[in-house]
Amino acid sequence: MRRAAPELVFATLLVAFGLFMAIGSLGYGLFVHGGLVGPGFVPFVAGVLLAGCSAWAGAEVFLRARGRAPVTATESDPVDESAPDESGASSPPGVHSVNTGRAMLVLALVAVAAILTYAIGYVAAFGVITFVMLAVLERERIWLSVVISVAAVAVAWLLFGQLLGIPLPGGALHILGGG
Amino acid sequence: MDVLHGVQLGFSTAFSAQNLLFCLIGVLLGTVIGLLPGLGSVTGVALLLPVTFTLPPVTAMIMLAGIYYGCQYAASISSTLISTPGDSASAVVTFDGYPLARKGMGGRSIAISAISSFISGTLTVIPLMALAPVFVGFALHFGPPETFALVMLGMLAIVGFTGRSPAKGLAMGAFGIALAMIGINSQSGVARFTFDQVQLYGGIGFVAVIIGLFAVAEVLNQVGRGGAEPIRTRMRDMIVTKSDLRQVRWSIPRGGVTGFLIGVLPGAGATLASFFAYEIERKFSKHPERFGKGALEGVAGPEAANNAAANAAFVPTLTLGIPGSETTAVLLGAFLIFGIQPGPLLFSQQPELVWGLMASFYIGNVFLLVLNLPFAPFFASILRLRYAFLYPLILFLALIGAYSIENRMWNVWLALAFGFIGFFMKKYDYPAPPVILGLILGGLLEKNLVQTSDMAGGSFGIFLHRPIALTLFAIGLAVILGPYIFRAARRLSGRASPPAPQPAGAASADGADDTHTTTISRGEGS
Repeated sequence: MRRAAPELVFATLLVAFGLFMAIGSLGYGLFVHGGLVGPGFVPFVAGVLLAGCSAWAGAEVFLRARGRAPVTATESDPVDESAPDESGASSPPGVHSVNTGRAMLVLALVAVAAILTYAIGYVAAFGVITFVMLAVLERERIWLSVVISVAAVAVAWLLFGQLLGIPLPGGALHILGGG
Repeated sequence: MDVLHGVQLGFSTAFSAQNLLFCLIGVLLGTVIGLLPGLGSVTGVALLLPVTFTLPPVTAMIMLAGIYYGCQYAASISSTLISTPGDSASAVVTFDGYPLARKGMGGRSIAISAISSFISGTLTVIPLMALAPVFVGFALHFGPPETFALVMLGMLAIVGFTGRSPAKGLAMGAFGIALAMIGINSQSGVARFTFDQVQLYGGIGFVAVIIGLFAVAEVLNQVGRGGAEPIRTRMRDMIVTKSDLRQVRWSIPRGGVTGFLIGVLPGAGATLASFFAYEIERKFSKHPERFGKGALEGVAGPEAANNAAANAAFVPTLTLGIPGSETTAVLLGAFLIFGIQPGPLLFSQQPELVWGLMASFYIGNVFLLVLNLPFAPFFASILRLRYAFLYPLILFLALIGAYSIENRMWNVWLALAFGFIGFFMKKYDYPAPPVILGLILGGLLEKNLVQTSDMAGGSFGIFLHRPIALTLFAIGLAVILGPYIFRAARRLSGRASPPAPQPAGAASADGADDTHTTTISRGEGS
C-alpha cells in the first residue's frame, strides 16, 4: 500500500481538480434564459467526468494494492523513492526504476534557467544551465561541456534570434536578445 | 473553365522558372522551421509571410504553400526522433514513430512518413482539383449541429487511447476538455477560471501543453531512468525496405481518404484527421497490440491523413473564403494582403492563381520527397549521440519553441508545468493523447454545442432533423459498438473468437514506457 500511496495522491489531486471545475462552473450558469446551454455547462460536465473517472482510477489502484483486483501489468514499475541514482544496470532485464529525484533536479535546473532569463536573457541563461547539466549532472569533461554549451547558444541565437527574427528576451542586461 | 483546361493552366503556371524556384525555397524554409520543436506551420507561414511581399501574388502564394507543407513534412521528424511534436497534427507520430526510433528504426519511420506524405499529398491534389466546386455545395450544408456531431465522433478516438485502464484514459480526456474551458468564453464573453490573471484570459495554449507533455515529460522520464542508450543500428538498417512498404500499403490510402474528407470541412484541421486516421489503423489492424510500440502503420496512416488534410483545407479556403485550418487562416490573410478575395468567384476571376497553386502542391511534394527520403537515415543518426548530450539541447530548443508561440515567457512556464504533470502521468500510466485531443476539441465542441442550442431554442431535438449529423452519430455508435457486435456475431456463429484487441495502452500512447525494453533489445536483429 505504501508503494501505491503516491499514485493515490495523484488520483486524488485529479479528483480535487475535477470537483473544483464542476463546482466553479455552477457560478457561470449551466443554462441561460430559454434553456440555452450556458458558459458553465461544458466545464461542469468535464469536471464531473474528470472527478468520477479519476476516482475510478484511484479505486483501481487501491484495490490492486490491497490485492483484491487483478494486477494490470504496467511497463513502468511504481517508483521506488529510495532507489539510488543509477542507470538500472543492476536491475532485472526490462525493468528500470525511475529516479524521481534526478528528474526533478533537471526540472529545477530548467526552472532556474527560466528565472535567470529575466536577468541575463534566454539564450545566455539556457547556455549556462546546459553547461551545468553537462559538467555537473552528467559529469562530462569541462572543455566538452563548454564547447557544446557555446555552440548551442550560438546556433540558437543565429537561427531563432537573427534568421527567424524571434525577439528572444535579452533580460535586464540585454544579452543576446533576438528579433 | 473546365477541370482539364484548369489543370493545364495550373501546371504551365507552376512550371515557370520563377515559381519553381520559389516553391523550392518555400519547401526548404518550411522544412527547417518544421524541424524545430513547437514552431509548426502556422508560425512558419506567419514568420515568413513578410519575405513574400515583394513577389508577384501567384509566386508568393506558391512559396507560402510550400512553406506550409514543408513544415508538415518536417514536423514529424522531431516527433519521431525526440518525441517533440513540431505541431499538434504531428503529435500522433510520437506514439509509434518515437518507439521505432528508440529501436533503431528512426530512419525507416521518417522515410515512411515522407513516402506516405508524398503519395497522399500528391494523390489528393486530383480530388482537390476535380471536386473543389462540388465540395462548395457540401460544405455549405455543414452547420453547427453537423460540426458538433463530427467533433463528438473525434472524441470517440479518445476511447482508443484509454489503454489498459479506461478510467485513466477517460479522465485524461476530461482533463483536456477542462483545460480548454479556461479563459474567456468566445460565445458569452465570460472569463472562466482565470482568477483575474491576464495570462489566462487567452486560455491554455495547446502547443505549450504539447511541448510540456511530450518533450519535457519525456526528457524527465528518460533522465529518471538513467537516459536512453544510443542506438547502435547500422546505417543500412535505417533505410526503408520493400517489406516496410508492403506493411503500410493500405494505411496510406486509408489515411489519405480520411484526411481529405475531414480536412475539407471548415475548422476540422489536420490534427483531428491524424488522430482519426491513427484510430482507424488500429481498428483495421490484425495486431492492434503493436500500436504504441512501433507500428509503421501508426506512422503511415496519420502522416497520409495529415498531408491530405493540409491539401483539403484549401478547399473551403479557396472556394468559400472560410479557412480550413489555422494555417490556411494565416494564408487567407496573405490572400487579402495581395488583394485577392477568396470565394466562389476566385476560380473564374483568377484561374491562373488557383490552378497554379494547386499544381504547385504536386511539385512541392516531389521536392519534399527528394529532400527527405535520402536524408532520413542521417536525421535518425542523431540518436547515436549519448542522451546526456541530447537532452539539454532538446530542452533548450523545445522551450524556445514554447516561447516563440506568443513571444512571452508565460508559455515557457506553462510547458514546464505540464512537463511536471506529464512526468507523473507517464509514471502512473495516464495517457497523454486524450489530454491533447480534449484540449483541441473541447473548445470546438462547446462552440458548436452552444450554437446548436441557440439555433434550436434550447432543444436538442434539432439533431433528429439533420441527416448529416445523425449519420455521423450513427458512425460513432458503430465505431464503439462495432467490435463488440462483431465478436458476439462470431461467437454465435460458433467460430472461435479472436483475442480481444488490446486498446492502444497508456504506455503504448506514451512510447517512452516501452523504450527501456526496446533499448535493452536494441541491436538485436536490427
